[in-house]
Order: sequence, then C-alpha cells, then structure tokens
Amino acid sequence: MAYVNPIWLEGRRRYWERHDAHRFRKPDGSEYKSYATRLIAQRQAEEEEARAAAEQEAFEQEVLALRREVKKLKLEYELWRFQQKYRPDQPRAPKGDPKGGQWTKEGGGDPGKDGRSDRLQSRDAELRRGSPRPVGTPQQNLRLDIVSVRAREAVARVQQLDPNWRPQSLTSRDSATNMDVMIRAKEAETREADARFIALSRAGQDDAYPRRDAPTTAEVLAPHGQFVGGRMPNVPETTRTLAPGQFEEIRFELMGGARRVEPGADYDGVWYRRQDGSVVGLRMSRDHGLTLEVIESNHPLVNQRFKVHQR
Amino acid sequence: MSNEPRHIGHGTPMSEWIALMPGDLNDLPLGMWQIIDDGHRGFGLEGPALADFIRRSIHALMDAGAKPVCGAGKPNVWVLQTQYGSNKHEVAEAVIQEWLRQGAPTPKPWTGLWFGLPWSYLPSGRE
Repeated sequence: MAYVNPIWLEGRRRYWERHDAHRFRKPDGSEYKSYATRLIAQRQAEEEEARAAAEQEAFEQEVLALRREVKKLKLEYELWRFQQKYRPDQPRAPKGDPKGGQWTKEGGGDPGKDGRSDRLQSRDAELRRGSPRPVGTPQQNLRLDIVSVRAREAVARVQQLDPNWRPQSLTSRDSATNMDVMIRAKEAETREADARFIALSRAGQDDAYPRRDAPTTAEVLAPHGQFVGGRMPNVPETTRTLAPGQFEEIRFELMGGARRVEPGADYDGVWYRRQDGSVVGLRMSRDHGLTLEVIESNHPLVNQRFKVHQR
Repeated sequence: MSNEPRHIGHGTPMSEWIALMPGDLNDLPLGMWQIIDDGHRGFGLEGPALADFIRRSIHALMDAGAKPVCGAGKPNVWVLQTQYGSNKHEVAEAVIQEWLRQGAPTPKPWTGLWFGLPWSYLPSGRE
C-alpha cells in the first residue's frame, strides 16, 4: 500500500467531521440541480399553482353568479306570485252557485284553449315552477340551476313581446321526483320559448329599438379587441359561448338601432342590419338553441363566421 | 420563424385556422361563402393562393366527414350534392373549377354550396 502522510490524513478526517461537511460532498448527478434549475422549477410550479387557483376561482365565481341569478329569479317569481294572489277586480262565483262569493278565475274554470281544465293547468304550473327540487348529485343540481336560468331567460325574453305567453312543454309532471326529467323539462321549456321568440321576431314583433349612437357590432362582440364569452374546446376562436344573462345583454345591445331585413330562404331565424352596415342574425341552432351570428361584416376581427351560443 | 400566413384579425396560423374549421359542423354546415371570405379578407389571399386555401379547407372538412350540400329553400333542409365527385380531391378540384368559371366571386351570405355532416342531409338526422 502506498505511503499516506498522517498529517494529511488527519487534515482530511477533520475536514469530513466538520458540522457542515455535507456541503463538500460531491453532488450526485441524478439528484443535483443547479440553483438556476431549481429556481426555474420553483417558478414553474408557482405559476402552475397560480393558474390552477385562477381557474378554480373563475369556476367558483361562475357557479356563485349562477346561484345568485337563480336566487334573484326565485325572488322575482315569489314576488310575482304574491302580486297574483290578490286582485281587487278578480271575479267571484255568482250567487246561487255552490261556491258563491268565492274568488274565481276568468272563464269560471272552463277548459282552456288546449282542452285542459284550470285545475289541471294550475297543477302543471305548480309542478313546473313551485315543486320541490328532487334529490340529485351536485352535478345534477348545478345542471338544473343552469338550465333553469336559461329557461327563465328564454321565457322572459318571449314575455317581453307577448306578456301572456306560457310554455306548454311540461314533461316535469311525468316525474317531479326525477332530476333528469326535471332537467329535460327545463330544456324543453327553453326550446319552446326560443322557437316562440323566433316566430314572434319573424312576425315583426321583435324588440329592435331606435338608438342614435349604437355601438358597432365589433364594439359589442369584441370590446377593446377581446371577444365576449369563452371558447369551447376544438371549436374556432370565432364561436363564443356565453351565460344566458350575458347573451341577453349582447342581444339587446345589438338590437339598438337595428332594422329587420329579409333573411336568406334557408335561414331559420331573422336578420337585422345595424347602423354600421353589418348584418347580424338570430336563429335556432340545432344543439344550442337561440344563437346570434354575424352574417355580413367588414371588420377583420368579427368576421362572417362569428357566432355566439348560450351555455 | 415560420412564414405561414396568419389571420389578419386574430393572428391564428392558417393551418390551425383550417384544422378548426370542422369544429362547427355539428351546429351548421360551413358555406363556401364563409370559406372564401376567410381566405380573402381573413388572410388577404388572392388568385392561386386563395384557391389553395379553399382546397385545403375542403380537404379538412371532408376528412371530418362533411360532404357538399345545398340549401333546399327552407330552413334546416339540406340536399346532398353528388355531382362534384366521390373523394375529397375530386370534390375540391370540381368545386374550385366551378368557382373559377363563375369568375371567382365572393358569394353572398347564406348562399351557394356548403359542406355538411350526415345529420344535415339525411332525413333521420333532422329528427
């Protein structure tokens, strides 16, 4: 064995027995990461965490907004019901009638237009509007919230043009305890209301209104160069999806200063020419119900494939 | 850096734009009037470059299962057009030749030839 100077050996022993001797250990290639690498990895992890938190926050905000909207609509509905309960001019059953003096509806309970009695109609209405919510999964509850908001918006939109209109699709009465049936009922209500709205618009009863300083279509659909709404996966950037309330705001904004023009023969809806020369259409989409779209536009951002669906 | 043209308004590369074209076919067929407008005004193309854009778009749409259809004069009724050929190459060339013969116009909105999935032209698809 080769000679080793004991003084050097003692020096090495003291060196490796120091309290911070781990600092002098040769780094293992597989585990060692330079300060810069560690810093980059740490920043990437922080960014990932922040992005995930932002997405979660946005989702929660959206759910909260929907819940607020549902609560607001429920409150409005309760108010409406309260207002309906008492009218001083509501007719009473005549003298001599077994129910004489009691409040009665106009028509005295005769069968309605569709042949159903008031009693049945009010049962339907009760099931449609006031029945307790069946037990469901959180996803079903959220879905029911969403379709309820959308149905309420769709019905309200029609009632602005035809205040006495009520949807007839009442599939919820088939099973008021089945969440899926409730959801389908709301979807059917929305489809019916959307179809009615398009029919009323075609008949010239739309709610376009005069406006001198109407914003351009691009200003409405892409304010400050940012498109409204969100983009669903695998669809073009020009296909946007909005919450029903936002959709209604956009539609109302586009109606300002618009005038109806004859749509293409194949078009399932109505066209409006706006003050900036663009033409926007409102039609029934197969999958998305009432849809807004740009038919003619010279703006590079808001082109002829731009459309807005409701969530 | 790639020299691929980008959309004038959106900045999207042409290949990505074309690849996403079939994404809307479940809602509605896509019209030649929209494809030509995309190429002409969206990407600033003219002449052979525009024809090539149309060709690539038709290939992408037919790869996704779309076929040429025409409106039947009433909403939501489409009629399959078989005279253009049986595969994407034949159809694209025939459609472009027809468009060139007409003087390469930008069609009026909601007119002319469209590309639709079977739900649009099969009677069962409209139920």
